[in-house]
Order: sequence, then structure tokens, then C-alpha cells
Amino acid sequence: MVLVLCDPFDTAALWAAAQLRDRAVPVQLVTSDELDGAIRCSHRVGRTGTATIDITLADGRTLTGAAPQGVLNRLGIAPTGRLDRLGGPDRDYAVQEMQALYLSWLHALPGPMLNRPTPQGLGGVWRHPADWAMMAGQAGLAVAPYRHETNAEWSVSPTSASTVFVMANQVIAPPNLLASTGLPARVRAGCIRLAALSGEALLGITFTRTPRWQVQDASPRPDLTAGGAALIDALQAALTP
Amino acid sequence: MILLCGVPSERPLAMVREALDEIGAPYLSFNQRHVATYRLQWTIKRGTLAGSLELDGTSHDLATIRAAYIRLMDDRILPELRAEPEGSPARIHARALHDSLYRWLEHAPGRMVNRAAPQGSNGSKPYQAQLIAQHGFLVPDTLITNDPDEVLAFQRQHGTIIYKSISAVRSIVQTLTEADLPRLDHIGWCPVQFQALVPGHDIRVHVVGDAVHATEIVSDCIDYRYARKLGGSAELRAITLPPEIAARCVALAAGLALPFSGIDLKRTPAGEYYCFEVNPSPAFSYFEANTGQPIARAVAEYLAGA
Repeated sequence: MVLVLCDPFDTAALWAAAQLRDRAVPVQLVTSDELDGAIRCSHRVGRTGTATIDITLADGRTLTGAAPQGVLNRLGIAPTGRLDRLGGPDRDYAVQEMQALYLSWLHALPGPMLNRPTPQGLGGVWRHPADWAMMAGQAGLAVAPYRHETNAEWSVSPTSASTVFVMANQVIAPPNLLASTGLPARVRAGCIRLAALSGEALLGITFTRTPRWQVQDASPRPDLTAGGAALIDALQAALTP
Repeated sequence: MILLCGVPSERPLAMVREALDEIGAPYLSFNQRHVATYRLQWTIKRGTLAGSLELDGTSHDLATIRAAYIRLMDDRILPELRAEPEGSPARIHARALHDSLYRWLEHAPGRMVNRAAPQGSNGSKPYQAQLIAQHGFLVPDTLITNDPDEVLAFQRQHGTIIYKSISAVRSIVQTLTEADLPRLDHIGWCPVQFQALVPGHDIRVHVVGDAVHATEIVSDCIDYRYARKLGGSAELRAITLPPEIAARCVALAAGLALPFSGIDLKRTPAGEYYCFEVNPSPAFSYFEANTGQPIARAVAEYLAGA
């Protein structure tokens, strides 16, 4: 069983769930809206740190984490739509409480997870472009010089961008990219180093080719559809060991 | 060079500055109240940082700053900006400058006390508790739920239970009493954190690098921080922890990437040590003022050792 946690309009996650089901992998898809509407939530941490969850969704399904299962975790922030009717400081407080709760119960889920929750993002660390620029350079990848100014952004046209994925020390390039120029070995090695530096089990790295391979951006929650069947192969292997 | 970031009159920052003066370590002050006159620019090229910080008309090469003590307050509530409307040039400048400073501090080499990212674990107490337990400390039995019946069962199981915030939002720890039960249904709106009351004495441990300063607090209140406010008392005294507990505290702080931390322990009558949380930006002045423990000096020496 693979648990897919995502926003209802996360087409990349929905695509991955469908692809896994096509391969006869049992998938439980739970959207953030469904989590937001959960009728019961219980999360325990015992004196030795053993943690459990027990969440009952409105449709009667439950999330218990009792049996280890792979999790494709695409949540960014805790869903808090139900708190909107509170308003004011009570809502602000409750939003922080929910974010703290989600971080903890997601962390408590056993089994492989792509990606692990962090205080900087429930589905992996949200990083500023400066962070990626720093780490990409440290990984030996070409990257445009970054100058920190108000509202500074990398000014690279997305039309020429290609996303490469790294999962479990494996680099997965989109089929169209492999069919054209392929991925140079030094870029491949740099991608693995960047993923290791970021600490993310699944990382999408977006390159521009000008003509050299230059990192434009990276994300722990990339558009999975670009990875094609090879990415689904890797997801299946990682989440159903 | 050491960079002191914050409002200079704030006690912990002032105490570290005084300690740096005592040991003769050079420092610069990033005084938030002068933010309007400051400039900061930096670049990243091939994974290397370079840039300059202009303070009070003098430009400093960022490469010379090898340590920082960071006690920045929320720049949006700086007194100098109080009369400024949202979106004013002064507010935009202050926000951009602070954002730039925080970004640089995350990547700059050296002893940064403490960087922002590692402080994040304190934003979720049950998450941090899971990390704490990996370092060998017991943590309080915890239930977070929106189900009143489960709370009552938890209370029956543990006897006295307390409730407090899940997040880093500060809350006064309260005992769940009969008077609270009529409003227990309110937790349906937002799950609440309950914990078994752990008996014993509170201990605050300040870890600075490998240095450990432990303070025992004897109080008649559940939350000693509010003892005076609640009509109670709190007596603080310096203690020496058993070596294995002190070593565990150092390992915990290092594991959380917090070179300076305030670890909240409780020693039970049975001699067990529970850990409640690790504060990533401890306001140590209260403890130093009551015990004379040289915590500011330890921070200064740590910074100067960069």
C-alpha cells in the first residue's frame, strides 16, 4: 500500500497515484481537503518517543500508520480551511497549532516517505533561491551568480528548462532529454551531490541549457509528470520495498 | 569579528556584549533600531559567499565576520517603524534588510548562534519530543486530540494532566481541572495537546558548545515561569548534573544543530530525567541573574573561539 498525501489539484501527485494503480500497486489517496475535514484526530507520543496517529476522515477511512507503508508526501502546509470561520488571533493561533501537529504526525509515520516532513515544509524543506544557488555551487553544478537584493529572482527563461530527478542516488532524466543530448556524467554526479546536500530523498532539479547545463531551481515537490515511466519505476521501488 | 544582532539594550544581548568586553573580543553591533541607515549586499558565486555590511557609515567585509549572536526581534514592531504605514519605504527597507541578513547568516561559515533553520524543531513540541527521545531522554506521555472522550480517558489513565500549546506560541501550562470540563468540547475546533503531569523538580540546562550550566528550579507552580504572576514562588539554584545527563544534553543540542540552547528537564523522585523541550533562543539572563552562573561568559567565549 502506498499512501499519497496531496492537495486536490496537485496534478503531478494525482498522475503518480494513477500510474502506480495502473501497475497494480494499492494506493490510498488522501487530499488535504479530506484531512481538513477529518472528524477525529488523535496523535500520541509515548515517554520513549514512540508516536502513533489515528485520524478518521469524513468518509470513514482511517489513517493509523499501524502498518509501515510508503508515503508520497506532497503536502506543503497544513490544511486549515476549517479554521477560516474563526478569524482574528484565534485563527492565527490555531493555524500554527495545526502546522505543528501535522509536522509531528507526519514525522511519526513509519515506512519510506518521499519526502520527509521538516519544520521548513511538510513535504520537504522549502528553500529560497539563494539556498539552492549556494548548494548547487557546492555540489559542483553550474549556477548563475546570485546577488541578494530586494525581490531578487533568477532571471532565466523557463521555456528552455528541463527537470532532472534524483531519488535514492539514482538520477532520472526525462525521456525527451535522454532522446536528445543525454545528461553529461559530471552533471549527473553533481545532481547526486546536490540531493545529498539538501537531504531530500526525492529532488527535482531544473536546468537551463545555455548551452551549458546550469541549475535554475530545485524542489522537493517537483512536477513528477516530466519523469515519465522511469520516475514511476523509481517511485514504486522506493515506496514498496 | 563577532556580529551582535538585535536591540543592544535587550538583556541577553547586553550581557553577552559585556562578556565580550571582559575577554577583549572584538565585535560589531547590528542595532536593529538603526536599521534605516544600514546596507547589506552579498553574492553567491560557485558556492562561495562574498559581500559587505555597512553599519553607521562604515563598510565591513562579510568575510571578516566569523561568528554572530542573533537576538533579532520582529522587525515589524520596531519602535522606529511604529508610525510607518504598511508598505512604506522604511518598512520595505527594514524587511528586505532583515531577510538579507537572515539568508546570509544561514550560509555564512563560522559560529552562528543560532541559525534559523535548526530552530524550527521547536515550532512543534511533539515533533521535537520525538527527536529528543532519540537522544535517550524520556518525554512526557502526550496526547493531541480533538476528541473529548479520549482526553477524559487519558486523564483517568494518568491522574493529573496538563495542557499547553503544540506550537512555539507561548502558553501558560495549565492543569486540566473540573472547571475546564464544560468547555472540553471546544477542542473539536482545533486539537489540543495534553500531557501526563511529571512530578519532580524542573531543571533548565543551558548548553553552550560543550559547556553545561544547569539550574534547578523549586516552585509551587506548574509553570514556574509565571510563578510570581500566579502568586507562587520559584527558587533557582545552580546544580551539577550527573556526567551522563550532562553529556546527553550536549549531544542533544549538537544533534539539533543548536550550539546554544536552553533544555528543559525534570528530575522525578525516582531519579529519571524527562526532557520537555529544547529552547533554541534561550533568554538566559533570568537564570544568570538568580544564580550567578556565567552563561553570558560562556556564550562570549564560544563566539570568540571561532
